Amino acid sequence: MIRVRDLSVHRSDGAEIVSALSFEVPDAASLAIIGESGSGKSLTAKAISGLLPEGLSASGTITFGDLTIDLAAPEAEWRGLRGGTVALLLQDPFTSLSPVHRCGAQIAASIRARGTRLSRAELRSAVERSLAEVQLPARVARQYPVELSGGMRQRVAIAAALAANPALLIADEPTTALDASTQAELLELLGTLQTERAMSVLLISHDLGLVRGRADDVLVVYRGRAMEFGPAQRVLDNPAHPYTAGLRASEPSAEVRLRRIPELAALPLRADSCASGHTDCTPEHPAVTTIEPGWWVSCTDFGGRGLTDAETTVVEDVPVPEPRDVLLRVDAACRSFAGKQALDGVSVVVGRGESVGVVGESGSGKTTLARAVVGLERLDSGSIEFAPRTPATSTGARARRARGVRGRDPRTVQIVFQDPYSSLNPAMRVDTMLAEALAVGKRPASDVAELLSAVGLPAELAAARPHQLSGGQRQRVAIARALATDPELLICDESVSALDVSVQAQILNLLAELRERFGVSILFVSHDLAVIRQITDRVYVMKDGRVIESGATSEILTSPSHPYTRALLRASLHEERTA
Amino acid sequence: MSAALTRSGVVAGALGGRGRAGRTARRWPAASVAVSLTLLALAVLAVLLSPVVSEQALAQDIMLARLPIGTPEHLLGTDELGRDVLLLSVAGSASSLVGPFCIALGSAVLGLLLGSLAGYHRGVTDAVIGRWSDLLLALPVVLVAIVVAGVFGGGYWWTVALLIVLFSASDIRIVRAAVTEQAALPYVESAQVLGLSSRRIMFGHILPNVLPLAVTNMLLNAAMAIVALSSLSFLGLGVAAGSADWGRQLADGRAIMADNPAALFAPALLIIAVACAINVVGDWLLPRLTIGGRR
Repeated sequence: MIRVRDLSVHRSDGAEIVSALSFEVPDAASLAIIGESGSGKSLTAKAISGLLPEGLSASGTITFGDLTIDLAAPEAEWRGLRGGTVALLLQDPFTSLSPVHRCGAQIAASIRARGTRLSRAELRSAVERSLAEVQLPARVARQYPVELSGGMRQRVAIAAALAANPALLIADEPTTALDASTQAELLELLGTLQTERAMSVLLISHDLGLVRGRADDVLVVYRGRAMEFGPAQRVLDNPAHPYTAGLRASEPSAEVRLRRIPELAALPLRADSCASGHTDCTPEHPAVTTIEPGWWVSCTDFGGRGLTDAETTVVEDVPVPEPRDVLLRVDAACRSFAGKQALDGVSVVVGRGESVGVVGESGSGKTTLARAVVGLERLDSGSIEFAPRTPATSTGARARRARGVRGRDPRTVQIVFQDPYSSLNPAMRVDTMLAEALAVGKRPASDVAELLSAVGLPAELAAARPHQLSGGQRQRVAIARALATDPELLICDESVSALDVSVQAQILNLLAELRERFGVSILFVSHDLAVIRQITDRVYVMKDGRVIESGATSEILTSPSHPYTRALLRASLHEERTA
Repeated sequence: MSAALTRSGVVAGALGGRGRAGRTARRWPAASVAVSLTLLALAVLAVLLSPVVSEQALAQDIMLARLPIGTPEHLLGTDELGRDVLLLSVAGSASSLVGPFCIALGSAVLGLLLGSLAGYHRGVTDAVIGRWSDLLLALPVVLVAIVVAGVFGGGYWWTVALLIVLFSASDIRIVRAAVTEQAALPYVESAQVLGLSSRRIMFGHILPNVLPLAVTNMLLNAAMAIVALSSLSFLGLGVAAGSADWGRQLADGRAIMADNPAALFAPALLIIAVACAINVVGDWLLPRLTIGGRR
């Protein structure tokens, strides 16, 4: 049994980011911590492994069997504890492995951390055993991380983490960066390893489907405070705390389309007195009500917010005809990279005012398609044509200056990328960025405020630089920049995949609003069927560079005809409902 | 269990480089940064004073030659020509430091220009600029300096100009690598989709993000340039014989090391001290220049 008592994380100015979390993970069991970004769930993981970033300090204790470790211990004391007791598996297999060392050497490093002296041959066979355990061939030992796929890298990271025989594995969003099917395989593997090794797992995730399926218990945190704790399935099916219920509601469904996705409003944390009449109830230590043994909920004195009509209204499925007023026509697009056919005769049509989805797993060519439409990728053959409302004049210096990449008119098509952290220039202020984009659309810089309010940002943020903004705010700025030229088509390339469910809901609602208000057409590229269901009217399903199925989103996601679509849908619904 | 706890080592791969342990940036203690900043301030002061004192410093008086260190009125003694070593060192700071500063600045500007072009446009531009910087790196500095002196008649500013070109190779490479990395980021692609000119993207968008690196390299170069220019002066290729310059002093001081060691060590220590101070300040400055303390 691993016990964490009174875990708090403080900033150097004294502000408390995580307040007095206490929980336990039984041997061979798994506990999931869920919450929005900024809730302190990742910091909790880092505090337990002694890896808090500079400027933050932890207090509290963690107990393994008969050994208790003070979480405030300095770095030197931690060094001997990591690996053998706690191992950390991070989200991004692309950055968590060293790019300059062979995979075998990285696993060997943690085998050596066990302390036993091994000969070269013994070490090699130990590395091979580790690789076999994560179902990788022995040749991977001699390969560098760049030579492996994301799924394989994450397996190497798991092998490295487990080689030191940790009692507790902390998995911080271990599969978020991976495809649905790779995700399922990896989770299966982690589950098997956990039972085989009788290892405890602390899973940090924002994916409620995954938590419901994989964790025994769940701890819900909000602003560093515990809201609810209990058996994962029962808590998520029947939340006792309004915050848990809110988290669940903001998760989009692949089955029905809602007029508006419920957004999780900021909860006011109770200031001083407890209206529920609990004795000993303070904001730092709210009173706890036990629902049944092993399931408790903290004082819910701030209450929840009921769902509005729009948030419960299911949009009727209506037949969606092929558009007659075509804005974008991609015809037989082909593109190959180093012999691999990324686009193999793809034809896609987007009508004026339409919202069209492109869904597929990574490697399906959907991102190449999106990039080709805005001109960031060239085609080997095929054509991409726009029918803009106001055709750009083809002569004159002014017209030429307003030309985007590969002859695209920036006033016809714009793109919003996936990662809100790298899609904004870190050196530029928000207003400079937006003014520049406005100038391309021949609009005055004074429209910045209007643009910010259109994407639901306060005008004060005009002077901010990207690092001062949250992920959701950055994505809003990216959308504002894309809209600054009044484009007729907005390409969204996995634009909500990097966001939490609650922020994702806000951004999807914003896109729907903007579409209605400005009449902009949307081409939404995603791997997430639920997101596609909520935001698009028609959908193209892509696999291996080809469109294998297309039609009205409601039809395709209710009764897919292609076996691949059926498999995708099954994976997504399975995750959502059960296991 | 407890046996497992005493085992040392970190799961390097799985833990990644995010934690305290992984942070490798060199931290200089505050005291050494303060000392370095003070030293640099004194150096700047010396440069400003040098035109004022140079006449007096260069005044020769053979009668006073080779006074040892500690002589009243001549604290660091005098050199072979009877010039005060302390005054000469102050007067020499201008030619010893202004040139290197120009070299560092000039090569940084060249590096930013050519490195940005190579890193952003890639292809032929990159190949040409890449080979050019290879060529510069392959040239032996002293040999080229002798050739340039032979062709153009030498002189301080010719040497400075030559070193600007030769030093720019490292700037070009560093800037090119940084620009290549930045150019693939979505913010640059967004700017391209907006139809901004490549000049605007290179110098308006990417440049501010690679500038901290260029500034740090500039400081490193300044330190190296002090040494390089002094070495050339030592060989007689930089400044004219008899002028106030630390490298020149070093060369002349060798002959009278037994009589007045300060004539040799004063300029030598000054070169080392200023070069070190610039390096420490450069290291200290980099994380402060980086916006928002990005990774």
